[in-house]
Amino acid sequence: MTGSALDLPGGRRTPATAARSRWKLTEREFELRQSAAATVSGENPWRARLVQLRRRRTAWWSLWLLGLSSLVCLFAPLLPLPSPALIELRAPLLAPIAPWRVFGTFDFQPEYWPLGWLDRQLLELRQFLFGTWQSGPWLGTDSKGRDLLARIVFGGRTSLAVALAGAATSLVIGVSYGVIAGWFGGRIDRWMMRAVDVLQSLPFVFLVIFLLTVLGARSSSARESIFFVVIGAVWWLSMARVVRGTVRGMRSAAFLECAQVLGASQASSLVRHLVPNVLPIVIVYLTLTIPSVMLFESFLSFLGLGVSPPRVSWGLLALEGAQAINPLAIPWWLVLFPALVMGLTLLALTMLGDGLRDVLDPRSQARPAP
Amino acid sequence: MTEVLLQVRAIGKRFDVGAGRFQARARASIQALSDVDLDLASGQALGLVGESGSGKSTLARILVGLEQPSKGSVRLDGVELTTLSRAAWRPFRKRIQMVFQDCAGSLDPRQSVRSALLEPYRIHGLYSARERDMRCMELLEAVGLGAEHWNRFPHELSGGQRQRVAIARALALEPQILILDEPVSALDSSMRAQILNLLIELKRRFHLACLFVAHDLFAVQALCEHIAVMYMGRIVEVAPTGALFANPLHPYTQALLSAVPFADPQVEQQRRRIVLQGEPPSPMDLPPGCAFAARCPTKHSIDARLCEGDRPLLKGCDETGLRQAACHAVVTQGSQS
Amino acid sequence: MIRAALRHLAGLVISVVIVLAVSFALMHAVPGGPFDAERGLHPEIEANLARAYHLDWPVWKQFLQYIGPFNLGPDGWLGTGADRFGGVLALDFGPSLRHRDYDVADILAASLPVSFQLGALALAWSVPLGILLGTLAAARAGTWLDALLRVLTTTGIVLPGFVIASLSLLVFAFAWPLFPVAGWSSLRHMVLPAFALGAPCATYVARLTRSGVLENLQLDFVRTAKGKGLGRGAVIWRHALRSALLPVVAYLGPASAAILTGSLVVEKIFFLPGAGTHFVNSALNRDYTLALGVTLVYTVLVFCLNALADLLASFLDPRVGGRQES
Ligand SMILES: Nc1ncnc2c1ncn2[C@@H]1O[C@H](COP(=O)(O)OP(=O)(O)O)[C@@H](O)[C@H]1O
Ligand SMILES: [Mg+2]
Repeated sequence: MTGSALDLPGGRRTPATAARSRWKLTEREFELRQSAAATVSGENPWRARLVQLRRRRTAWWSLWLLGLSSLVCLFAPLLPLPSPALIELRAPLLAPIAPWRVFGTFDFQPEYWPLGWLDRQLLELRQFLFGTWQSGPWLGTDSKGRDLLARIVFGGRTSLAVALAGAATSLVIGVSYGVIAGWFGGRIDRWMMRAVDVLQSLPFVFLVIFLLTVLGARSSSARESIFFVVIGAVWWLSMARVVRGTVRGMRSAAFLECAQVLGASQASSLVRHLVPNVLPIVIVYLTLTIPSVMLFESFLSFLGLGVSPPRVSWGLLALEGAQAINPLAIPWWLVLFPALVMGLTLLALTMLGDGLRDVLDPRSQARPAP
Repeated sequence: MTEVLLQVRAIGKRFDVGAGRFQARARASIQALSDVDLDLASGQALGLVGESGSGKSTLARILVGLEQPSKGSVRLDGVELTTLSRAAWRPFRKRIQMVFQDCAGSLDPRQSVRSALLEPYRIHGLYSARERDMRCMELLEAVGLGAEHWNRFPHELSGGQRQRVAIARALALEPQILILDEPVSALDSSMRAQILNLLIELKRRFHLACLFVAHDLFAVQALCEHIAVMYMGRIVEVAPTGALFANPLHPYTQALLSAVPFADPQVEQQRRRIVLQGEPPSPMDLPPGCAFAARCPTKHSIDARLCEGDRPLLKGCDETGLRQAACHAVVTQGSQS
Repeated sequence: MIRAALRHLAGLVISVVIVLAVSFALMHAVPGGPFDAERGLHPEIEANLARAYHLDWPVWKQFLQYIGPFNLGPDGWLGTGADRFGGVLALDFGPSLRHRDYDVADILAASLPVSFQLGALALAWSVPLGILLGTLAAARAGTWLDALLRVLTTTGIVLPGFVIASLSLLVFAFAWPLFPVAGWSSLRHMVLPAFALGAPCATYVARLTRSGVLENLQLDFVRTAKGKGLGRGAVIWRHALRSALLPVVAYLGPASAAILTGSLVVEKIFFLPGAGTHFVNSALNRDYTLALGVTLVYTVLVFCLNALADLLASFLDPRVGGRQES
C-alpha cells in the first residue's frame, strides 16, 4: 500500500515507489521499536522549567505562600472568623490577644455586605460546621470593634478579585493585541503601537480619579465597575508591548517557515507554534502585572475612591489605620498588620515574578544572575 | 536524458530596503537575484555554489514559495508556482520540500521529535494515527536515528541529530524534490561527512531531485551530478561536476576551486592558487558590466572595457550545451582553441 | 534632538486633546454630571457656571469656548467684562462647583506651590541618596552592606507609599514625637512628608544604579582602567558610575510622575494644603471643574517632565548621536 501521499497533482508516480517499500517496517518491527521508545522519555521544556523554578527557593516558597493565601481568601466565608462587618462598639480598639490566651468565643453573628450565591452557601456550611464559634481577636479590633484578622482576610479577597481581573484583561486584550500587531507587522503594527504609546504616556492615575469624579457618582457598584473597566483599559498596555516584541522576533523564526513549507496555514502555525512559544513571556508579565494592579486598587481605596464600606480592602484598612492613630491612642496593630500583609504579598509576587522571569524568559538567561 | 521536473526561468528578486522611517522615502534596493535559469531533473542533484550573500538562499526560498520573485517563473511539471497563494501551494507541498540551514531554529523547541515528525501528516490529513506513528518510526530509521530519540525534545539533540530530524520531516511527505539550503554548514566537519553520506543514500533511495545549496564546492562534489556557480545573484557557470572540477571555465569558478585543498600533497603543492583582489561590489548598486570584473584576474587578457561595460550572458560553450558560462573571456578562449 | 522634542510635543498635544474631548463629552453626556439639572448646587455657583460655560449656546460653540480663549459671544473675539471666559488653554477652568466664590485657577494657584515644594524636596533627597547607596552596594557587592541595602531597597519597592507614610507617621510623630503630625509651615513640617514621598524613588534609583555600575564594571574600558592600575574606588567614581547614571536620568521622568501620584496619599495623610488634597476631595464631593483643572495641569506636567528626562538622557548618552528610534 503506498498511501495517499502519492496522489500527486498530475497523478504522477515516481520510480522510487518500489525502492521505498523496501525499507518499510513490518507491524512486529514497529511494535518492538515503539515499546523501546516508550522507555525513553524526553525532558519536556515545561517540566524542565518547573524543576528550575523549584530550585529557586524564594520563588518556590513565594508560589506556595501565594497559593495558600489565595485559597484562604477564596474560602474566607468558610473559616471560623468573626464577621468582618460586625460593628461592636463595646469592644473598640482591642489590642491583639495571643491565641493561647483567648482562642475563641461563641459569639458569632453573621453580618456581611450582600454576598453572592456561592458565598452564602459557604457561610451556611461554616455555620453548620462551627456553629457560633469564632476565633478570638488575635490581631486586635479596629475603632468600631471589628475583628482585624477577619477584615484582612476579606480584604485579601478584594485584592484577589482585582488581581484576577487585571490578569484576565491583560491576557485577553493585551495578548491578542500584541499578537495581531506583531504578526501582521508593517503599517498595522506601526499604528497599533503608536496608539499604545499615546495611551501609555497619559497619567492614568489622574485620569482615573477624574473619571471617578464624573461617573462614580451614586452607587458604589457603579464605582466598582468603573474600576474594573479602568483596569481593563490600562493593564494590557505593557503586555501588548512585550507580546508584540516577542512575536515580531519570532515572526521570521525558522520553525514557522518550516511549518509553512510543510503546508500549515497561517492560523494553524499561530496556534500550534507561536502561542506556545509566547506563553512563557505572558506568564512572566502576568505575575508582574498583578502586584501593580493590587497596588493601584489599594491606592484608590486608601484615597476613599475604591472599595467602599462595609466592604473591605487592604487599602481601606491602611486608611483606617492611619486615621485611627492620634496622640492619645496609638493602635499600632491597625497600621502594622495591614502593612505587613500587603508587604509580604507584594514581596512574594515580586520574588515569584523574578524567579519566573529567570526561568521562562530566554532573554534574561544570557545575563548572569547578580 | 532525464525529464525536467522543475523549471526556473529568468528569476529576478529585488529587496526594497527602506532607509529609516523618518527619512524622505529614499528607497534603496538590493538586487539579490537577476535572470536565474535552472533546470532540476528528476532523481538528479544540482549543486548551487557561491559565496555568502550571492542569493542562494533567496533562490531556494523562492522555489518553495517563502518569497515572491520580482520577475520570472518557476514551473513544476508546467504548473506556475510563483503566483500560488499559501492555500493553493498545499498540494504541491507533497512534491517539493526544503531543509533549512539553521537546524537549531527549524524545530519548534516545544515539540518532541515525534510530534515534529507527525506534523506534516497532521497538516495534510494523511493516514490513521497508528500508521502515522509507523511512518515516523520508519523515517527516523531512514535518517539514522533510533527509537531512543522518539520522545526527545530539540534541546536534547546534537546539531547533527537535529538536522537529521529536519531531513526526516522534509521527507515525510515523500517529495520528489528536496531543496537543501546549506544543510551541513552549521555542523562540524565529522558530522558534515555523516550527513552528506546520509543525503547521498536518501537521494538514491527516494529517487530525489535535489537542489543542494552550499558555499563551498567541496560539499556538493559527492552528491551532485551538476553544479551551478553563483556570483552576486547571477549564475556564472553551469557544468557537470567532473567537468567543472577538471576544467573550470569562469575565472570566479577557477578562484573558488583553487581555494579547495586537495588530498594529494603533490598536486596540492604544484597547483596555482588564485587569490582574489578587491571587494565584491555592493548589491545595492551593481556595475553595468560583469559583476566580477572588479576582482577578475583574467580581465586584462581581453578588453577590460568590454567586461566593465557589457554584461556577459550565460552561453553554452561546448558541443553538448551542458557546459555554460557567463564570461567574455571564456567565449574568446573557446573560439581560439 | 529637535525631532525628538517635536515628537514629545505631538504626544502632548494628542493627549491634551483626548483629555479635553473626553471630559467635554462626559460633561454633557453623563446623567448626574456637572451640567445635569438636578445636582443641587448653590444657586450662585449655578449662575456662575451657566455664565462661564454659556450653556445656552450650541454645543460646538460651547466646546470652542471651553477649550480656548475664543469668545464667540456677542462681544466678539476675546470678550469683555464679566462675560469673559478664557477657556482651558488660557488656564481658566471655570468656577469651582463646591467652593463658592472661588475659581479653580485661584485654588490651583494657592495649592500647586505646596505640592511642587513637596515633590521637589522629595526628589532632591531621594535621587542623590539613591545613587550613593546604589554605588556603595555595587562597590561592596556581595558583602553584608550590599545585603543590608538590598533588604532596604526591596522593602522600599514592595511597600506602597501610603504604608510607608503611615508607618513613618506612627513611628516618628506619635511613638517618638520628633516631627509634627500635620501642617506645612516650617522645614520640620516638611521632613516626614518628603521622606515618605521620596523613599520609593530612592530605593528604585539605588537599584538602578547598583545594577548599572555592576554591569559597567564588566565592560572593557573599565577593565582597561583597572588594568592601568587605577584603584577600585577611582574606577567606580570616574568610569563605571558615569555611564551607569544614564538609566537613572531616564528614570527621572517616570519618577516625577510617581512622585506626583504619591503626593496624593502623602498630602492626605499629613493634611497638607496641596493640589493633591484638593484633587482627592474634588473627586469625593464631585467638584468636577476642579478635578479637571488638576488633571490637565498634571497631564501637561508629567508629559513635560518625561520629555525633559528623555531628552536629557539622549543628550548625555555618548552612543546616541542620532539615535534612531526603533
Ligand atoms: N529579506 C531580505 N531583505 C532584504 N535583503 C535581503 C533579504 N534576504 C536577503 N537579502 C539580501 O539578498 C542578498 C542575498 O542573500 P542570500 O540569498 O541570503 O545569500 P546567500 O544565501 O547566498 O548567503 C544579500 O545581499 C542579502 O543581504
Ligand atoms: Mg544563505
